[in-house]
Amino acid sequence: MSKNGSELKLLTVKRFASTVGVSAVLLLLVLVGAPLIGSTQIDLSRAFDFSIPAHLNPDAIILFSVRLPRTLLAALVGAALSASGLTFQSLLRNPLASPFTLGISGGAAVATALTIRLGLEGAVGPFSAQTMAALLGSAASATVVYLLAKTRGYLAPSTMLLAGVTLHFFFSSLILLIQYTADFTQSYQMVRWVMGGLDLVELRRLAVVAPLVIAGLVVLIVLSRQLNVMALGDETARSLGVPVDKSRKVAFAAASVATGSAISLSGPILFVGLMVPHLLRMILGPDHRVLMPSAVFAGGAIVVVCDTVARTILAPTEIPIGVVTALTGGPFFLWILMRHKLRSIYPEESLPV
Amino acid sequence: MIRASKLGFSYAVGRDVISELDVELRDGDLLAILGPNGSGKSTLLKLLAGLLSPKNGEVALEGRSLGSYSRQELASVVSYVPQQTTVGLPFTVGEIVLMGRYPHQNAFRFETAEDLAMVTRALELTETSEFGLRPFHSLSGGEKQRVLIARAIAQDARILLLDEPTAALDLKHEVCMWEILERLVVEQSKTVVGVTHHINLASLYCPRMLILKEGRAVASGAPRELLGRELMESVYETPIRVEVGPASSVPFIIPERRSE
Repeated sequence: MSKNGSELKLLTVKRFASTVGVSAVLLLLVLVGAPLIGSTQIDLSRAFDFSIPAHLNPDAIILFSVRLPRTLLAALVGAALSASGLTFQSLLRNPLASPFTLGISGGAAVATALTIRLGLEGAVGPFSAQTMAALLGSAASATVVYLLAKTRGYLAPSTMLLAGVTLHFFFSSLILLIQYTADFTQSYQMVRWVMGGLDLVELRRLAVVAPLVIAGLVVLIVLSRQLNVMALGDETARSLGVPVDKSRKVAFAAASVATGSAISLSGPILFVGLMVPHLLRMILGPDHRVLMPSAVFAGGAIVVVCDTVARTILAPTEIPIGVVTALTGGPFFLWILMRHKLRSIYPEESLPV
Repeated sequence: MIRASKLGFSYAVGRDVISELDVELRDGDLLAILGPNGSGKSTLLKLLAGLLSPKNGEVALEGRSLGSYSRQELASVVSYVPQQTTVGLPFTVGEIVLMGRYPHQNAFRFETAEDLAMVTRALELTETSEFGLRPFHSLSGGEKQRVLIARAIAQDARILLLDEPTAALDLKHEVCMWEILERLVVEQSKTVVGVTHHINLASLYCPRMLILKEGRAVASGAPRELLGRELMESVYETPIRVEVGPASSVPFIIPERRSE
């Protein structure tokens, strides 16, 4: 009988490195590969020939100014959405949770739609009015959910979920109202934002947002041990030394910052934040110490691949990235559900009846 | 040593769940807390675990108020198993018991051979080794309860506070569980406190009992002194009779029909 005990898998440095390493290598490969693929063939030797003046070198312009920032943004957004989705599923104890469940994308979308409707132009530093609006909108909605759910210094998961979902629907109606009063062009711009897009990002804008996203992700990775213990319930977690209330607030804030900053550049990209955590949990098990960094790397890699498909499959026409992730992710996820039967994987209590 | 003095607690204003309560626990104590539903047993346990802060009086651990300990400090001294645990994610039994080692690890340390040894021993003690690799949620109620106690044992704290640790167990496993707790007390001089409704098993294994009613201590002492007909009938408000076990010579409570 004691033999089984010794087969328990400890999380050693070696096991951690070999599991998380797989997704890290995957991300590295697609980061190098994706910029080389596209509707225009580029000549690598010319792109890297720095003796040619930059503005006279179309190969270098396409590689460094168009494809590279886009690939990096795709990776950043995928990482943020996957890790935040994992965090929200864990915090809310609900497998249907995603980074957008608590209305973060709704808040950003309302603010963006308003900017478009009011025709606000101009920029703050490297940011366009739209990016700023999206950033503020997501921050505002996260704050509202936080204040609604906070009772006596304690964040109740069920109140958080109800407040977030209510806010999400409220925002959807607001967007419809704004769209109704808008003209055709504005309305199209709004719809286009909601589909998500990774184009037209300058490296310097990316450089400002990236630290915010990365800071959020680092916090989530540090909290991953506590997220494990919190699955045993608040009281047991507290008795094991986890400052449950504080950890929940910090995790919520970190995931909101990562998601909000990422989608301020890209718009909401559907399905990634719901699907990637489940996919990884099925392969790697529920341990957040392994899952969280894997979600960062694999989530980034998956969005880079989807974006490469989006911009090449119907080239020169580009399909919105959000459409690609939802169209491929949806059926793929259903196929996994049919094969594995989610009910046999998740504890019955955690599934909505 | 834990000493609670003049302890008072209420969840809502004006409705005291615990009042004027004194408890003292020494190393190597095995204490059963008995009492009817809603008498404040679980609340008392949470106060002793530092999960609730008393409204009146204080709980002192080694002479220092519980409130002055950090969560981390407390976790290496006191372990607690709640009445019910729902695990929302598909963790295996082994992974759950390993979480008992949380207070002994810092944020970046990985699990060690010592952690594994503690977990293996806790699984063996509770006869749950065979479930080690199974998902926790696939176990029966009683198996889950044994695993959760294994989790607390792996925590290796000096004081174990258990809320109805044997409620879901069959008779054999209930007896086994009390034997395990007794061994922890005798061999490692741990302090064990168990809230229970199973008066007779508590009588068989616990040298000391504390009986609560409406948040107050009705009596405390050895089973032989406490388990009299008059006291138990007034506490539980139901007719009983007391018999002394021929082999163990401890008193057992036998319920009688309420109506003649």
